Amino acid sequence: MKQHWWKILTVILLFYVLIAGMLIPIRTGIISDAKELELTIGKKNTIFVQTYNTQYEKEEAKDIKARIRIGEKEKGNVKVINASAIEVINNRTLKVDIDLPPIPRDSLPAPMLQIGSPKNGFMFSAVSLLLNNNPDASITTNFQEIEALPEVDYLSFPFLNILEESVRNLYYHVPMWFGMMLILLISVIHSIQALRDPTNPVHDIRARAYASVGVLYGILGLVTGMLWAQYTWGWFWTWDVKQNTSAVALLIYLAYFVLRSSFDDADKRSRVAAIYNIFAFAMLIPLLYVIPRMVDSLHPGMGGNPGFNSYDLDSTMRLVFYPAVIAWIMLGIWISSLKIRLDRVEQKILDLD
Amino acid sequence: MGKLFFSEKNTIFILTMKKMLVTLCSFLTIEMWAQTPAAKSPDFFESTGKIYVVVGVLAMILLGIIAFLVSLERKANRLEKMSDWAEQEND
Repeated sequence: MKQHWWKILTVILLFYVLIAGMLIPIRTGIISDAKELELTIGKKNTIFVQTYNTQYEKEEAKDIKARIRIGEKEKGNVKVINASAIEVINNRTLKVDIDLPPIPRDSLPAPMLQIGSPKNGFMFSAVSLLLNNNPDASITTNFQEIEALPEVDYLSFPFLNILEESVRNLYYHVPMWFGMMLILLISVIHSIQALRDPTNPVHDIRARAYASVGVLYGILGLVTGMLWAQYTWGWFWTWDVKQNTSAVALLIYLAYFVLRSSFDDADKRSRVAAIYNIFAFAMLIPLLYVIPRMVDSLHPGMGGNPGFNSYDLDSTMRLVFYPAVIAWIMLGIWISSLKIRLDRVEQKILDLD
Repeated sequence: MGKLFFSEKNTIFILTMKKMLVTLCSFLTIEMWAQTPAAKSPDFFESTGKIYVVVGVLAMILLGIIAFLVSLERKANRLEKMSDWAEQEND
Protein backbone atom coordinates (compact mmCIF):
# COMPACT_ATOMS: atom_id res chain seq x y z
CA MET A 1 0.00 0.00 0.00
CA LYS A 2 2.94 2.29 0.72
CA GLN A 3 3.89 2.82 -2.91
CA HIS A 4 0.30 3.81 -3.75
CA TRP A 5 0.28 7.03 -1.71
CA TRP A 6 0.49 9.17 -4.84
CA LYS A 7 -2.66 7.58 -6.25
CA ILE A 8 -4.54 8.51 -3.07
CA LEU A 9 -3.11 12.00 -3.41
CA THR A 10 -4.30 12.12 -7.04
CA VAL A 11 -7.85 11.23 -6.00
CA ILE A 12 -7.85 13.79 -3.17
CA LEU A 13 -6.49 16.52 -5.47
CA LEU A 14 -9.01 15.68 -8.21
CA PHE A 15 -11.85 15.92 -5.70
CA TYR A 16 -10.49 19.23 -4.43
CA VAL A 17 -10.20 20.57 -7.98
CA LEU A 18 -13.74 19.47 -8.86
CA ILE A 19 -15.32 20.85 -5.69
CA ALA A 20 -13.34 24.10 -5.39
CA GLY A 21 -13.27 24.67 -9.14
CA MET A 22 -17.03 24.30 -9.49
CA LEU A 23 -18.28 25.81 -6.21
CA ILE A 24 -16.20 28.95 -5.56
CA PRO A 25 -18.39 31.77 -6.92
CA ILE A 26 -17.48 34.18 -9.70
CA ARG A 27 -17.14 37.79 -8.55
CA THR A 28 -19.79 40.31 -9.49
CA GLY A 29 -19.26 42.05 -12.82
CA ILE A 30 -20.81 44.04 -15.65
CA ILE A 31 -22.23 41.94 -18.50
CA SER A 32 -23.12 44.90 -20.74
CA ASP A 33 -20.32 45.53 -23.21
CA ALA A 34 -19.00 48.86 -24.48
CA LYS A 35 -21.50 48.85 -27.36
CA GLU A 36 -24.43 48.60 -24.96
CA LEU A 37 -22.97 51.28 -22.65
CA GLU A 38 -23.17 54.27 -24.97
CA LEU A 39 -22.69 57.76 -23.59
CA THR A 40 -23.09 60.96 -25.61
CA ILE A 41 -20.79 63.89 -24.94
CA GLY A 42 -22.64 67.05 -23.91
CA LYS A 43 -25.81 65.25 -22.90
CA LYS A 44 -27.64 63.93 -19.84
CA ASN A 45 -27.22 60.21 -20.39
CA THR A 46 -29.21 57.34 -18.93
CA ILE A 47 -27.73 53.86 -19.25
CA PHE A 48 -29.02 50.49 -18.09
CA VAL A 49 -26.24 48.34 -16.73
CA GLN A 50 -26.69 44.55 -16.68
CA THR A 51 -24.63 42.97 -13.94
CA TYR A 52 -23.67 39.39 -13.09
CA ASN A 53 -24.05 37.60 -9.74
CA THR A 54 -25.32 40.73 -7.97
CA GLN A 55 -28.18 40.95 -5.47
CA TYR A 56 -29.12 44.63 -5.66
CA GLU A 57 -32.05 45.78 -3.56
CA LYS A 58 -34.14 48.91 -4.05
CA GLU A 59 -33.16 50.46 -0.71
CA GLU A 60 -29.47 49.84 -1.47
CA ALA A 61 -29.45 52.49 -4.24
CA LYS A 62 -28.16 55.25 -1.95
CA ASP A 63 -25.06 53.17 -1.05
CA ILE A 64 -24.15 52.35 -4.66
CA LYS A 65 -21.61 54.62 -6.29
CA ALA A 66 -21.12 54.82 -10.03
CA ARG A 67 -18.81 56.99 -12.08
CA ILE A 68 -17.00 57.39 -15.35
CA ARG A 69 -13.25 57.21 -14.85
CA ILE A 70 -11.14 59.08 -17.37
CA GLY A 71 -7.43 59.03 -18.06
CA GLU A 72 -4.59 56.66 -17.34
CA LYS A 73 -2.79 56.10 -14.09
CA GLU A 74 0.66 56.14 -15.74
CA LYS A 75 0.00 59.59 -17.22
CA GLY A 76 -1.38 60.87 -13.92
CA ASN A 77 -4.45 62.44 -15.54
CA VAL A 78 -7.10 60.36 -13.83
CA LYS A 79 -10.38 62.17 -13.20
CA VAL A 80 -13.90 60.99 -12.57
CA ILE A 81 -17.42 62.10 -13.40
CA ASN A 82 -19.80 60.80 -10.76
CA ALA A 83 -23.26 59.57 -11.68
CA SER A 84 -26.00 62.08 -10.91
CA ALA A 85 -28.55 59.39 -10.02
CA ILE A 86 -28.63 55.62 -9.57
CA GLU A 87 -31.72 53.47 -9.45
CA VAL A 88 -32.05 49.73 -8.85
CA ILE A 89 -34.33 48.23 -11.52
CA ASN A 90 -33.94 44.65 -10.35
CA ASN A 91 -31.27 42.65 -8.57
CA ARG A 92 -29.18 42.46 -11.73
CA THR A 93 -29.95 45.77 -13.45
CA LEU A 94 -28.99 49.33 -12.54
CA LYS A 95 -30.21 52.55 -14.12
CA VAL A 96 -27.40 55.09 -14.05
CA ASP A 97 -27.68 58.78 -14.99
CA ILE A 98 -24.43 60.43 -16.04
CA ASP A 99 -24.07 63.96 -17.39
CA LEU A 100 -21.17 64.44 -19.78
CA PRO A 101 -20.05 68.07 -20.30
CA PRO A 102 -19.78 69.49 -23.85
CA ILE A 103 -16.01 69.18 -24.21
CA PRO A 104 -13.82 67.74 -27.00
CA ARG A 105 -13.57 63.94 -27.26
CA ASP A 106 -9.78 64.18 -26.72
CA SER A 107 -10.26 65.46 -23.18
CA LEU A 108 -12.06 62.21 -22.26
CA PRO A 109 -9.35 59.55 -22.81
CA ALA A 110 -9.87 55.86 -21.88
CA PRO A 111 -13.38 56.22 -20.43
CA MET A 112 -14.46 53.45 -18.08
CA LEU A 113 -17.62 52.82 -16.07
CA GLN A 114 -16.95 51.88 -12.45
CA ILE A 115 -19.58 50.78 -9.97
CA GLY A 116 -19.03 50.02 -6.31
CA SER A 117 -21.36 48.97 -3.55
CA PRO A 118 -20.66 47.79 0.01
CA LYS A 119 -22.85 44.71 -0.52
CA ASN A 120 -22.18 43.73 -4.13
CA GLY A 121 -18.60 44.83 -4.58
CA PHE A 122 -16.65 46.69 -7.21
CA MET A 123 -16.93 46.18 -10.99
CA PHE A 124 -16.00 48.01 -14.15
CA SER A 125 -16.51 47.98 -17.90
CA ALA A 126 -15.34 49.94 -20.91
CA VAL A 127 -17.91 52.39 -22.39
CA SER A 128 -18.21 53.97 -25.82
CA LEU A 129 -18.53 57.72 -26.27
CA LEU A 130 -20.68 59.29 -29.00
CA LEU A 131 -20.25 62.79 -30.39
CA ASN A 132 -23.13 65.23 -30.23
CA ASN A 133 -23.95 67.89 -32.83
CA ASN A 134 -26.20 69.82 -30.44
CA PRO A 135 -24.36 69.72 -27.12
CA ASP A 136 -26.25 70.81 -24.03
CA ALA A 137 -24.32 73.87 -22.90
CA SER A 138 -26.04 73.91 -19.53
CA ILE A 139 -23.98 70.94 -18.32
CA THR A 140 -20.93 72.31 -16.52
CA THR A 141 -17.58 70.53 -16.47
CA ASN A 142 -18.12 68.30 -13.48
CA PHE A 143 -14.79 66.48 -13.04
CA GLN A 144 -14.05 65.26 -9.56
CA GLU A 145 -10.99 63.83 -7.86
CA ILE A 146 -10.83 60.05 -7.69
CA GLU A 147 -11.78 58.44 -4.40
CA ALA A 148 -11.97 54.81 -3.38
CA LEU A 149 -15.19 52.97 -4.22
CA PRO A 150 -16.65 50.44 -1.80
CA GLU A 151 -15.34 46.92 -2.37
CA VAL A 152 -16.18 43.50 -0.98
CA ASP A 153 -13.45 40.90 -0.59
CA TYR A 154 -14.44 37.25 -0.51
CA LEU A 155 -13.18 33.95 -1.88
CA SER A 156 -14.10 34.20 -5.55
CA PHE A 157 -12.83 33.88 -9.09
CA PRO A 158 -12.59 37.03 -11.23
CA PHE A 159 -15.44 37.94 -13.54
CA LEU A 160 -14.43 38.22 -17.18
CA ASN A 161 -16.97 39.37 -19.72
CA ILE A 162 -17.93 36.76 -22.37
CA LEU A 163 -16.10 34.04 -20.39
CA GLU A 164 -18.36 34.34 -17.30
CA GLU A 165 -18.59 30.92 -15.58
CA SER A 166 -16.60 29.21 -18.33
CA VAL A 167 -13.45 30.69 -16.77
CA ARG A 168 -13.55 27.50 -14.66
CA ASN A 169 -12.41 25.57 -17.73
CA LEU A 170 -8.93 26.72 -16.74
CA TYR A 171 -8.87 23.78 -14.30
CA TYR A 172 -9.95 21.19 -16.87
CA HIS A 173 -8.92 22.32 -20.35
CA VAL A 174 -5.51 23.87 -19.64
CA PRO A 175 -4.12 20.98 -17.49
CA MET A 176 -4.79 18.65 -20.42
CA TRP A 177 -2.10 20.52 -22.40
CA PHE A 178 0.27 20.70 -19.42
CA GLY A 179 -0.30 16.97 -18.91
CA MET A 180 0.21 16.19 -22.60
CA MET A 181 3.51 18.06 -22.65
CA LEU A 182 4.91 16.38 -19.53
CA ILE A 183 3.72 12.89 -20.44
CA LEU A 184 5.14 13.20 -23.95
CA LEU A 185 8.40 14.39 -22.40
CA ILE A 186 8.47 11.22 -20.25
CA SER A 187 7.74 9.23 -23.41
CA VAL A 188 10.65 10.75 -25.31
CA ILE A 189 13.00 10.11 -22.38
CA HIS A 190 12.06 6.42 -22.53
CA SER A 191 12.58 6.47 -26.29
CA ILE A 192 16.12 7.77 -25.79
CA GLN A 193 16.68 5.01 -23.24
CA ALA A 194 15.34 2.47 -25.75
CA LEU A 195 17.99 3.63 -28.22
CA ARG A 196 20.75 3.43 -25.61
CA ASP A 197 19.66 0.02 -24.34
CA PRO A 198 18.08 -1.80 -27.30
CA THR A 199 18.14 -5.24 -25.64
CA ASN A 200 15.56 -4.29 -23.01
CA PRO A 201 12.05 -4.08 -24.57
CA VAL A 202 10.59 -2.33 -21.49
CA HIS A 203 11.79 1.12 -22.60
CA ASP A 204 9.88 0.83 -25.86
CA ILE A 205 6.77 -0.38 -24.04
CA ARG A 206 6.97 2.59 -21.68
CA ALA A 207 7.59 5.09 -24.46
CA ARG A 208 4.54 3.83 -26.35
CA ALA A 209 2.24 3.81 -23.31
CA TYR A 210 3.18 7.36 -22.31
CA ALA A 211 2.81 8.54 -25.90
CA SER A 212 -0.70 7.09 -26.14
CA VAL A 213 -1.84 8.77 -22.91
CA GLY A 214 -0.13 12.00 -24.01
CA VAL A 215 -2.06 11.92 -27.28
CA LEU A 216 -5.29 11.13 -25.39
CA TYR A 217 -4.70 14.25 -23.30
CA GLY A 218 -3.91 16.26 -26.41
CA ILE A 219 -7.12 15.16 -28.12
CA LEU A 220 -9.12 15.95 -24.98
CA GLY A 221 -7.43 19.37 -24.82
CA LEU A 222 -8.35 20.01 -28.43
CA VAL A 223 -12.02 18.94 -28.23
CA THR A 224 -12.61 20.73 -24.90
CA GLY A 225 -10.99 23.80 -26.44
CA MET A 226 -13.35 23.50 -29.41
CA LEU A 227 -16.40 23.45 -27.14
CA TRP A 228 -15.06 26.41 -25.19
CA ALA A 229 -14.31 28.30 -28.41
CA GLN A 230 -17.87 27.68 -29.65
CA TYR A 231 -19.30 29.70 -26.78
CA THR A 232 -16.60 32.36 -26.37
CA TRP A 233 -15.14 32.90 -29.84
CA GLY A 234 -18.43 32.11 -31.60
CA TRP A 235 -17.32 29.08 -33.63
CA PHE A 236 -15.67 25.82 -32.62
CA TRP A 237 -12.88 26.00 -35.20
CA THR A 238 -11.78 29.51 -36.12
CA TRP A 239 -8.52 28.37 -37.78
CA ASP A 240 -6.80 30.09 -34.93
CA VAL A 241 -3.03 29.55 -35.02
CA LYS A 242 -3.06 27.69 -31.71
CA GLN A 243 -5.82 25.34 -32.83
CA ASN A 244 -4.00 24.66 -36.10
CA THR A 245 -0.58 24.03 -34.65
CA SER A 246 -1.86 21.78 -31.89
CA ALA A 247 -3.91 19.79 -34.41
CA VAL A 248 -0.78 19.36 -36.57
CA ALA A 249 1.22 18.29 -33.52
CA LEU A 250 -1.41 15.65 -32.69
CA LEU A 251 -1.39 14.38 -36.29
CA ILE A 252 2.40 14.00 -36.10
CA TYR A 253 1.94 11.91 -32.96
CA LEU A 254 -0.84 9.84 -34.52
CA ALA A 255 1.62 9.01 -37.31
CA TYR A 256 3.87 7.58 -34.57
CA PHE A 257 1.29 4.85 -33.90
CA VAL A 258 0.74 4.23 -37.61
CA LEU A 259 4.51 3.88 -38.04
CA ARG A 260 4.70 1.40 -35.16
CA SER A 261 1.96 -0.80 -36.55
CA SER A 262 3.71 -1.01 -39.93
CA PHE A 263 6.68 -3.01 -38.54
CA ASP A 264 6.57 -6.72 -37.79
CA ASP A 265 10.08 -6.97 -36.43
CA ALA A 266 10.11 -5.83 -32.78
CA ASP A 267 13.74 -4.63 -32.76
CA LYS A 268 13.33 -2.57 -35.87
CA ARG A 269 10.01 -1.19 -34.64
CA SER A 270 11.51 -0.17 -31.33
CA ARG A 271 14.43 1.61 -32.99
CA VAL A 272 12.50 3.44 -35.71
CA ALA A 273 9.68 4.39 -33.33
CA ALA A 274 12.16 5.78 -30.81
CA ILE A 275 13.83 7.95 -33.45
CA TYR A 276 10.45 9.12 -34.77
CA ASN A 277 9.32 9.93 -31.23
CA ILE A 278 12.35 12.15 -30.68
CA PHE A 279 11.64 14.01 -33.93
CA ALA A 280 7.95 14.31 -33.08
CA PHE A 281 8.77 15.81 -29.70
CA ALA A 282 11.26 18.17 -31.30
CA MET A 283 8.46 19.30 -33.65
CA LEU A 284 6.16 20.01 -30.69
CA ILE A 285 8.38 22.85 -29.51
CA PRO A 286 8.13 25.06 -32.61
CA LEU A 287 4.50 24.07 -33.13
CA LEU A 288 3.28 24.83 -29.61
CA TYR A 289 5.82 27.34 -28.31
CA VAL A 290 7.40 29.25 -31.21
CA ILE A 291 4.86 29.74 -34.02
CA PRO A 292 1.97 30.80 -31.71
CA ARG A 293 4.16 33.59 -30.33
CA MET A 294 4.69 35.09 -33.76
CA VAL A 295 1.07 35.30 -34.92
CA ASP A 296 -1.99 37.07 -33.52
CA SER A 297 -4.52 34.79 -31.91
CA LEU A 298 -7.78 34.84 -30.03
CA HIS A 299 -6.27 32.49 -27.47
CA PRO A 300 -5.07 34.11 -24.22
CA GLY A 301 -1.38 34.89 -23.88
CA MET A 302 -1.15 36.61 -27.26
CA GLY A 303 2.40 37.56 -28.17
CA GLY A 304 3.74 36.04 -24.97
CA ASN A 305 3.28 32.66 -23.38
CA PRO A 306 1.06 30.64 -25.72
CA GLY A 307 -1.07 29.22 -22.90
CA PHE A 308 -1.99 32.33 -21.00
CA ASN A 309 -0.28 35.32 -19.51
CA SER A 310 0.91 34.51 -15.99
CA TYR A 311 -0.17 37.96 -14.88
CA ASP A 312 -3.73 37.14 -15.93
CA LEU A 313 -3.98 34.50 -13.26
CA ASP A 314 -5.78 35.64 -10.13
CA SER A 315 -4.41 34.49 -6.77
CA THR A 316 -7.60 32.53 -5.96
CA MET A 317 -7.39 30.82 -9.33
CA ARG A 318 -3.81 29.75 -8.61
CA LEU A 319 -5.08 27.98 -5.48
CA VAL A 320 -7.09 25.66 -7.71
CA PHE A 321 -5.07 25.77 -10.93
CA TYR A 322 -1.74 24.41 -9.65
CA PRO A 323 -3.35 21.44 -7.81
CA ALA A 324 -5.40 20.83 -10.98
CA VAL A 325 -2.27 20.60 -13.12
CA ILE A 326 -0.62 18.21 -10.64
CA ALA A 327 -3.77 16.08 -10.29
CA TRP A 328 -4.41 15.67 -14.02
CA ILE A 329 -0.73 14.89 -14.72
CA MET A 330 -0.67 12.26 -11.96
CA LEU A 331 -3.89 10.74 -13.28
CA GLY A 332 -2.26 10.50 -16.72
CA ILE A 333 0.81 8.79 -15.26
CA TRP A 334 -1.45 6.40 -13.32
CA ILE A 335 -3.33 5.39 -16.48
CA SER A 336 -0.03 5.03 -18.35
CA SER A 337 1.30 2.72 -15.62
CA LEU A 338 -1.75 0.46 -16.08
CA LYS A 339 -1.08 0.31 -19.80
CA ILE A 340 2.61 -0.41 -19.22
CA ARG A 341 1.78 -3.32 -16.91
CA LEU A 342 -0.64 -4.86 -19.39
CA ASP A 343 1.81 -4.40 -22.27
CA ARG A 344 4.57 -6.06 -20.27
CA VAL A 345 2.35 -9.05 -19.49
CA GLU A 346 1.52 -9.27 -23.19
CA GLN A 347 5.22 -9.16 -24.04
CA LYS A 348 5.91 -12.00 -21.59
CA ILE A 349 3.09 -14.18 -22.96
CA LEU A 350 4.28 -13.56 -26.54
CA ASP A 351 7.86 -14.44 -25.53
CA LEU A 352 6.63 -17.74 -24.01
CA ASP A 353 5.06 -18.88 -27.29
CA MET B 1 -16.53 -8.73 -13.69
CA GLY B 2 -14.62 -7.61 -16.77
CA LYS B 3 -14.97 -11.05 -18.27
CA LEU B 4 -18.69 -10.99 -17.74
CA PHE B 5 -19.09 -7.65 -19.51
CA PHE B 6 -16.94 -8.28 -22.53
CA SER B 7 -16.95 -12.03 -23.07
CA GLU B 8 -18.13 -13.26 -26.43
CA LYS B 9 -21.20 -14.86 -24.85
CA ASN B 10 -22.51 -11.43 -24.05
CA THR B 11 -22.39 -9.80 -27.46
CA ILE B 12 -25.93 -8.44 -27.17
CA PHE B 13 -24.89 -6.39 -24.18
CA ILE B 14 -21.93 -4.96 -26.09
CA LEU B 15 -24.16 -4.13 -29.05
CA THR B 16 -26.68 -2.26 -26.91
CA MET B 17 -23.81 -0.44 -25.17
CA LYS B 18 -22.45 0.61 -28.56
CA LYS B 19 -25.88 1.79 -29.71
CA MET B 20 -26.34 3.81 -26.55
CA LEU B 21 -22.90 5.39 -26.95
CA VAL B 22 -23.55 6.30 -30.58
CA THR B 23 -26.90 7.94 -29.77
CA LEU B 24 -25.35 9.78 -26.82
CA CYS B 25 -22.49 11.02 -28.98
CA SER B 26 -24.83 12.16 -31.74
CA PHE B 27 -26.96 14.06 -29.22
CA LEU B 28 -23.87 15.73 -27.80
CA THR B 29 -22.51 16.77 -31.19
CA ILE B 30 -25.86 18.15 -32.30
CA GLU B 31 -26.15 20.14 -29.07
CA MET B 32 -22.61 21.47 -29.33
CA TRP B 33 -22.13 22.25 -32.98
CA ALA B 34 -25.56 22.99 -34.41
CA GLN B 35 -25.14 26.57 -33.21
CA THR B 36 -23.99 29.11 -35.80
CA PRO B 37 -22.33 32.41 -34.85
CA ALA B 38 -25.25 34.32 -36.40
CA ALA B 39 -27.75 32.82 -33.93
CA LYS B 40 -27.63 35.19 -30.99
CA SER B 41 -30.42 33.78 -28.81
CA PRO B 42 -28.93 32.16 -25.71
CA ASP B 43 -29.13 28.38 -25.90
CA PHE B 44 -28.80 25.81 -23.15
CA PHE B 45 -24.99 26.00 -23.04
CA GLU B 46 -25.05 29.79 -22.74
CA SER B 47 -27.61 29.87 -19.94
CA THR B 48 -26.58 30.49 -16.31
CA GLY B 49 -23.36 32.25 -17.21
CA LYS B 50 -22.14 29.49 -19.60
CA ILE B 51 -21.66 27.04 -16.73
CA TYR B 52 -22.80 24.19 -19.00
CA VAL B 53 -19.72 24.76 -21.18
CA VAL B 54 -17.68 23.71 -18.13
CA VAL B 55 -20.00 20.75 -17.55
CA GLY B 56 -19.59 19.77 -21.23
CA VAL B 57 -15.80 20.02 -20.97
CA LEU B 58 -15.78 17.81 -17.86
CA ALA B 59 -18.08 15.29 -19.55
CA MET B 60 -15.77 15.14 -22.59
CA ILE B 61 -12.70 14.53 -20.42
CA LEU B 62 -14.51 11.82 -18.45
CA LEU B 63 -15.76 10.15 -21.64
CA GLY B 64 -12.27 10.26 -23.17
CA ILE B 65 -10.58 8.77 -20.12
CA ILE B 66 -13.29 6.10 -19.75
CA ALA B 67 -12.92 5.16 -23.43
CA PHE B 68 -9.19 4.71 -22.85
CA LEU B 69 -9.84 2.58 -19.74
CA VAL B 70 -12.32 0.42 -21.68
CA SER B 71 -9.63 -0.21 -24.31
CA LEU B 72 -7.27 -1.25 -21.50
CA GLU B 73 -9.92 -3.58 -20.09
CA ARG B 74 -10.36 -5.26 -23.46
CA LYS B 75 -6.62 -5.77 -23.64
CA ALA B 76 -6.71 -7.33 -20.13
CA ASN B 77 -9.48 -9.68 -21.28
CA ARG B 78 -7.43 -10.70 -24.30
CA LEU B 79 -4.38 -11.33 -22.13
CA GLU B 80 -6.43 -13.44 -19.68
CA LYS B 81 -7.58 -15.58 -22.58
CA MET B 82 -4.05 -15.86 -23.95
CA SER B 83 -2.69 -16.96 -20.57
CA ASP B 84 -5.47 -19.56 -20.32
CA TRP B 85 -4.45 -20.99 -23.70
CA ALA B 86 -0.80 -21.00 -22.66
CA GLU B 87 -1.72 -22.95 -19.50
CA GLN B 88 -3.75 -25.51 -21.48
CA GLU B 89 -0.86 -25.99 -23.90
CA ASN B 90 1.52 -26.60 -20.99
CA ASP B 91 -0.84 -29.25 -19.57
